[in-house]
Amino acid sequence: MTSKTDVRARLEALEEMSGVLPTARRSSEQLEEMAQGLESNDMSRAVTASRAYLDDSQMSVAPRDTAHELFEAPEMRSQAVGFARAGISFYHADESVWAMSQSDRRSMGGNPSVTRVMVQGERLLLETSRIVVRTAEGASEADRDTALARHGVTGIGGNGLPPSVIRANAPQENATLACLALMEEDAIAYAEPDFIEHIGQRFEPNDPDLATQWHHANIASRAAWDNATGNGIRVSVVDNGFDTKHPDLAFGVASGWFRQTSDFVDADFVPGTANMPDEDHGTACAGMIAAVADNATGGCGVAFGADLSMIACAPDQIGTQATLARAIAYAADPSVENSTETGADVIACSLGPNGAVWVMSAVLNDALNFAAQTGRGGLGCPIFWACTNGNHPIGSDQVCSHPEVMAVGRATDGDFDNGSGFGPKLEFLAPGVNVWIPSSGGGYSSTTGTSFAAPCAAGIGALVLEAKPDLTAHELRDLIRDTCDKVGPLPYHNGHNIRYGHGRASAEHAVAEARRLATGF
Amino acid sequence: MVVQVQNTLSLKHAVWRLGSDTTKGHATSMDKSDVVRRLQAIEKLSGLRAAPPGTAQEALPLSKAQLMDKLPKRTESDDVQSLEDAGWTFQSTENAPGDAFEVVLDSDGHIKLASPSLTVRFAPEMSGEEISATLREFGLTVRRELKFSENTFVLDTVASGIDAARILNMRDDVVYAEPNLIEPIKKR
Repeated sequence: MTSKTDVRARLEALEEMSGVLPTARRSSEQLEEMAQGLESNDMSRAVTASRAYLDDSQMSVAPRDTAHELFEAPEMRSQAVGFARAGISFYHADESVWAMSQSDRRSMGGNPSVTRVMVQGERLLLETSRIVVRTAEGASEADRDTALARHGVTGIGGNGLPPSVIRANAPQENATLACLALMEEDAIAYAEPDFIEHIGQRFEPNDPDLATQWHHANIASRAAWDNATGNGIRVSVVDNGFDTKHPDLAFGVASGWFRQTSDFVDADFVPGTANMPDEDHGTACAGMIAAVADNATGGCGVAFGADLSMIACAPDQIGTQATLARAIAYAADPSVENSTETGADVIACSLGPNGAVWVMSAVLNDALNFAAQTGRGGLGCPIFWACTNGNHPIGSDQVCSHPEVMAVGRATDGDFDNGSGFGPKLEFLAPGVNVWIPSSGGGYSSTTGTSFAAPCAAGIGALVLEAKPDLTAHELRDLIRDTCDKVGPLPYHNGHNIRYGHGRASAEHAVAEARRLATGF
Repeated sequence: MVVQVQNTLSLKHAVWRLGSDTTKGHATSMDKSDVVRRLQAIEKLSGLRAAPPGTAQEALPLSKAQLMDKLPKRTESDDVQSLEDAGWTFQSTENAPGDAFEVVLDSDGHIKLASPSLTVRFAPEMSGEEISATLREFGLTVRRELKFSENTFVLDTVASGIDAARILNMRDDVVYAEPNLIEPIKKR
């Protein structure tokens, strides 16, 4: 439940855009022109149209200028487009207008209800006198109303709101301050301004197989995509090989592969995708993370906005752990193989035996420590690894038991565990049974394995890092753990069950928490 | 000096922590004693060699029955198949070509192949000259340096990578030495 502390922290973090006001709502061709200018990143066109709109306004005191600084950041620009299409623009008010009461502003043709423009976390929030109040547990409605009256706040009913929650009008022209004052009252659980904001349409990619990709529903990808798609995040997939011509995969510049030496002892690193081995397994893993979205082809990845760095090693599934170690280290810092590319933010690997036991070489231990400690400029690369598909304790697998590795098990579409590795080392489950993801040859297929659960979780990791880029690898691990859905019929002990780990990872909850940490909302 | 096979190991060596993560609350997972213990547990399968893909055209591979007879009972069953699928052929030592690799049973029960190569991490205070001198002393050559780990190299030996690693681990200035075992790294 939202606590007073959380609400107070959010309200105290609001930034008031002093002197900036919204216009009264009035649709016009100039505002559509402004919206189109913003959408095409043509700021000159947008500002010109916005000024023309203000010139045509019927306000008795002319605005000083359009508030085009609000359009600079891409996130705010998209909201400005939404407001423009709703008939609202923003302007710098004359000092006399700024000092007016709300009723006087209404009289001079200004916005009739908005008192102030606030910004938080690149969200434009328009304050009115309307607030939302929740009665504290144990307090009566009479207690609440007494508290409201002490601050001159009038309750106006709770139709359509959860129990104990009502709307109210704050008397003063600073509803935020009224809310902060109300939260000093014992009878009030919380009070917060009912901001007007632009709530864009949920992004729904046009990929025809999206409905078949049940895993997006289970981890609630769509809700997460409202805030993050993996944009600006590089994910390395270490695997046997990839279909470099798959129409739904975009290979990032840091992709490369390890070519076996002629004496079969070692491998040489080859940058780029030329002659990269093609393996169905790697293609599927990469596609789970970042298959291209909205291209009317196949489905899409969990973090379709991420940059994929595909790294192929041991193409015939035979190799040394020293080569695997080099692939992990390269993912974190390509300079170790003399590349100038930037390292990955997230690493996913789905290689390893499916029996109970796997001993780890010291050099692979070094590489995992290297990636986890020095990756991302010292924040560390989170490492997601598919645990054994067999019903064995993960503790017998030294790689998946490594302290810096998150061992991921597979879940069904019903959110049940599916007999993959278990034990205290199991981090969490993610969809990995009959998942519909890309396959080599250009198509899609249904496939099963922890191999696909780990990249699904890695995709969630990429979404989280877009929302909160300064998380350390350990903080990201804790965040995904803490936001898992507690699936399955068995009880959790201290948040963990040996068959479900911390639960089934949730894109929606993880991104929401990351966003809350980043913005206060 | 070329490394000679030794069957006894002195465990009087420094206990190195592999990795230096003491600041983030997560312990690293290995130390030198783990490496030595694993090396001691690796079992060479006598009378058996594996020839690399395309290198044993004339030699006669062992039949499935002959091969199974030479493998310990606790062997993970599909390792041999994975290696054969990749073109490796199992042969008796006497019939194997000169470039055939040793076949070993690792402590995890997996069949792996031991190449004449090993990975060695030297103590951080060792200079390049000191490392070169050590390599010369043991007849080792550098195949590549691993830049993600200080003073760590993939080395070639003219003898067994396993034997070379066992001997090098007895030195205090070696953080670890381990053979580069070729193994099935499968998809999950």
